[in-house]
Amino acid sequence: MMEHSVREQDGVTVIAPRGPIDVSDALTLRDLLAGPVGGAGNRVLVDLSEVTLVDSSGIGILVTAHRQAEASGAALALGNPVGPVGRVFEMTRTNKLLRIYPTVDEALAALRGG
Amino acid sequence: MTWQQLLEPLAAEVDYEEKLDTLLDHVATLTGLPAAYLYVLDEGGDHFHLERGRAPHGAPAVNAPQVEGGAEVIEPTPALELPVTPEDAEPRVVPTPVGRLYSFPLDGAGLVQVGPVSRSAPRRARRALDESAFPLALVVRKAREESLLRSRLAALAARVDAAQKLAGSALDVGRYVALLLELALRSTRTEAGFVAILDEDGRLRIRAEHGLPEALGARIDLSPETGMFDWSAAADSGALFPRDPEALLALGVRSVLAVPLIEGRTPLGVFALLNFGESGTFDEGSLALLETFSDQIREMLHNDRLFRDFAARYLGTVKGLARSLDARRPHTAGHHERVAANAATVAAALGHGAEEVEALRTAGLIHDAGMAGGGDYQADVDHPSVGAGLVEQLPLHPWVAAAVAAHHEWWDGWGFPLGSAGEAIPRAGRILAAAEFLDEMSSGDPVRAPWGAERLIEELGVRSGTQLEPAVADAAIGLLRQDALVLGGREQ
Repeated sequence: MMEHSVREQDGVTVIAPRGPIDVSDALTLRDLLAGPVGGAGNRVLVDLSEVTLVDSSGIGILVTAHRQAEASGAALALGNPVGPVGRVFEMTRTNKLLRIYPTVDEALAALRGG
Repeated sequence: MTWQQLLEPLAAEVDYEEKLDTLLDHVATLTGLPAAYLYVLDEGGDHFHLERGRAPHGAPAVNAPQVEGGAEVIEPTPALELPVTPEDAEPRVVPTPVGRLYSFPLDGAGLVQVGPVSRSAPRRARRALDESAFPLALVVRKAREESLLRSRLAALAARVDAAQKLAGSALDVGRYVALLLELALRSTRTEAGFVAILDEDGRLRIRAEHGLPEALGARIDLSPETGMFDWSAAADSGALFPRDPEALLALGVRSVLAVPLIEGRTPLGVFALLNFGESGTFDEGSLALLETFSDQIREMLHNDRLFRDFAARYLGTVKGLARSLDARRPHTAGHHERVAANAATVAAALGHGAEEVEALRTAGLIHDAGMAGGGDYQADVDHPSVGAGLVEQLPLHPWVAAAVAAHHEWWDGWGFPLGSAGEAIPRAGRILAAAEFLDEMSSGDPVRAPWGAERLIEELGVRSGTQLEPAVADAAIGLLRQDALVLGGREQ
């Protein structure tokens, strides 16, 4: 089971997974994101600061969540991808599909700004 | 001079320059004027260039400039290039460096200029060119088409050769992709992986795989609509990701990294690595290696596509060459198409699979291309080998080259070029031989009437076991009785 934390900060739901995200962890991430990205007006941030690696299944969940957020009128952003995590987004070219910010603060500011 | 005599250069088995020389000889004979120059329209359509000329030896140049004081008179030459003007659409007398010439348009193919003439052209020349313009234009146009085809063929052959050398492994890309995959797995300590390539139908097909459990390989769905990967964003961003983690878990996959292989904005395929156990992981060092390997695979696929594009265009040119050979004579018009259709029909009737049937259709469309450029008996004997040599390096079904090489061999060994007999003749060649025989005999020629179906059935029976393999002859007879073959005589 993927370790994680969830908090509210300035009207933004911050989900912070920890450790690697592989196929089974991706299902946990999906369950965490499903509710928040389905509500109109919701603002959701995935804090990647403590994620050590994400594989393609985790990437797929994040892209699906992004599409669901757009469809429901919510907003989803990712913040602070570290080392190999950022590289995986580039290798799979999903960095062009997602709102990814270099730091958590920038992601929060973008979400607050609408 | 009759139109048939004027069209004679078209049918001659000589090179392009010789055809034009014969044409200009005819023009000189018709007009009674010794000098004749042929200008053809260049690609841009705004200039004519001098393609071929016929000047009488030693004839003094009319109105040529004379140099005083005993200096050598330099023989003037006609202009090498002429700008296209509206006046060129009508016959007229024009001043040129070699004197006044009568310029006559050849129905969009170019101009012929004859002379020398005075202020007006002789009535004989005007009338002769008026009456002969059409066949003269036809010879120029067709001879030029054939010459351009041959040049293009030679240029493409050189490029295919170069691409092959550059690509190195282009013809064996599957093997090298498999090797790269294995190296990638070993260096990243990943358990399994595959490389899947997009085919012409937009479907991902596994080209190489390693370490996949046998049952898993059969269960991997790569279709764009429901498959393992979501390609919906590929056209815009090249992004690729798994559609459903639950489906992956059901397959026993613990972690997966799928790298899209993109060329520019075109998706080529996917390079996927999978782990099934607890130990598998993709650390930063592994990711760097994976990027390198995926670049290598992408480069290889690019070269392979390049080579296949060249090969497709090259084959198209060979087919064009074969068609141009058919166009030389009325009784050979459509020959290659009919042979191709009949060879495919006979192959299907004999129970051969779709790939062999299509291979024979391709072979039929090019089987006499080896005759191009040849004019003597030896060239005629060699044409099957020459034709096979034109295509044997291409990524085609092996039946194509085999059929072309053997389409004049006889079952009893009395054919050419090798004199092979019986089962030593490739099946593809035995089938193509029957299709060739059927079309030649049903088309006829200037001295023999075309044979109808009944006569063909009779002759197939006679030649069964000698010229033709008995089973092939029987299949052809059956098809003729069903009226299932295309005969040349009908089209006449």
